[in-house]
Amino acid sequence: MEQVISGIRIPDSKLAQEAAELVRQYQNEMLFNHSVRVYLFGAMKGIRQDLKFDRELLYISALFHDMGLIDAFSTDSKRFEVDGADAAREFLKTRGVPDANADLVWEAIALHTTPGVPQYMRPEINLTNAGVLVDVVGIGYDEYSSEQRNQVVSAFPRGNFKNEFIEVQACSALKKPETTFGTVNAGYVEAFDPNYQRPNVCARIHNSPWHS
Amino acid sequence: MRDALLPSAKINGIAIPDSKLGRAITEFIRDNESELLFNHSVRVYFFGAIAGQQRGLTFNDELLYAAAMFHDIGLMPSHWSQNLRFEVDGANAARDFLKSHGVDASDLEKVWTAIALHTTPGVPEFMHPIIALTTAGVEMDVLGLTYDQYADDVREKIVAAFPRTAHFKEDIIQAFYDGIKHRPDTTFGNVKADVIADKDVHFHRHNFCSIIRSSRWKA
Repeated sequence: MEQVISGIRIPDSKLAQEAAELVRQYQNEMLFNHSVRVYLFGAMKGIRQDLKFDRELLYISALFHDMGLIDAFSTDSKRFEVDGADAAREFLKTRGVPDANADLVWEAIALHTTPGVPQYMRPEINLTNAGVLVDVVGIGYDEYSSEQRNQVVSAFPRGNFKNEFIEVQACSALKKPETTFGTVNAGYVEAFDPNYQRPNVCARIHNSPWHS
Repeated sequence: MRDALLPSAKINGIAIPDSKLGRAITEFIRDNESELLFNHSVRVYFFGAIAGQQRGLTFNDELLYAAAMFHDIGLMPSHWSQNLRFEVDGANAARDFLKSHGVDASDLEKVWTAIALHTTPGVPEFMHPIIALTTAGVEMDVLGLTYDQYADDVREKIVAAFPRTAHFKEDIIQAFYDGIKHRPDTTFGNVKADVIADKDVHFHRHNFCSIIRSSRWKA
């Protein structure tokens, strides 16, 4: 069934459908809708900027980008971004997608919360991050027409997105706070655990085993 | 101690690449960076290359040398921008330099990425060896993260050839600050925010949850 939102077609190849089914099986509506919006906003930006990108790979990056928040895909020691990246790469490899494409999706997901770098990388990496930025923090909000925003949100509603998203992120971050060091995710731990002593990089430099 | 840059200076079997490109990189960084950062960068190369040996990785030593040597050039006034992360400035400088020396596009991308991500925790270690080892070298020299994985005599030889200053820990924090204080917003969500906070008591750190809650979206 072809679905077109404000001129953007949702990929419906066998691979794309399988990816969507798998992600939807594990994610609640809030997270799944967010992931599809990330694709739509990312693709819209790519078209606006006349970038050449692989829509299927962007779609799969967007779908899997928060998969590391789900218990079944979460490790104790890796950043949730890397857990999601690993899940996507595994999914793609078992379906015979070439390594170069699987690695590209891996990078797009692993770097989707890294500020100030992905926008200079390959289009799929750039646009995954751009879709996340607009949907989560509203960066780039005005670059979309209200018609584009309305159509995306009415097809894949936000609901109580801000609160529910923060809650899911915090739940993951609180399980492995050390993986949030030096990332935006430290903010979730600080907001939800008043006793949390955020590690400081200057203190870590001073306390290193080096004599001076 | 820059005489130690002679090609004969092998440490643990690792040498600075004695190629036309290797020499050009050395000269460029020597001319454009403070001695503190120059010596730090060479140590990053050695620690990174030795980490590569330990992990059994195959890598191009010229590319690792390029990434290590350029990784902090974005802290220098001659190479900094007003609004990009210093890591990206350094990545761009390395890309321009290597491009003018005929390095091919896929290698440029590896070096660019290695430098751009050298302060991003928990991701580079899973990427291409040039990217993984640049960060490994930085984390060893700045944070001492894998300190015990290097033999005492190896560490001592590297530091003797490319000395840490008497107060290197404080000096490197100061060098970070000097290179980023004019663009504090570029430190949001990365380790360099701590450097600004350490030096500037008025620095206000943003919390990501507050940013999400105050976005343009209604809910």
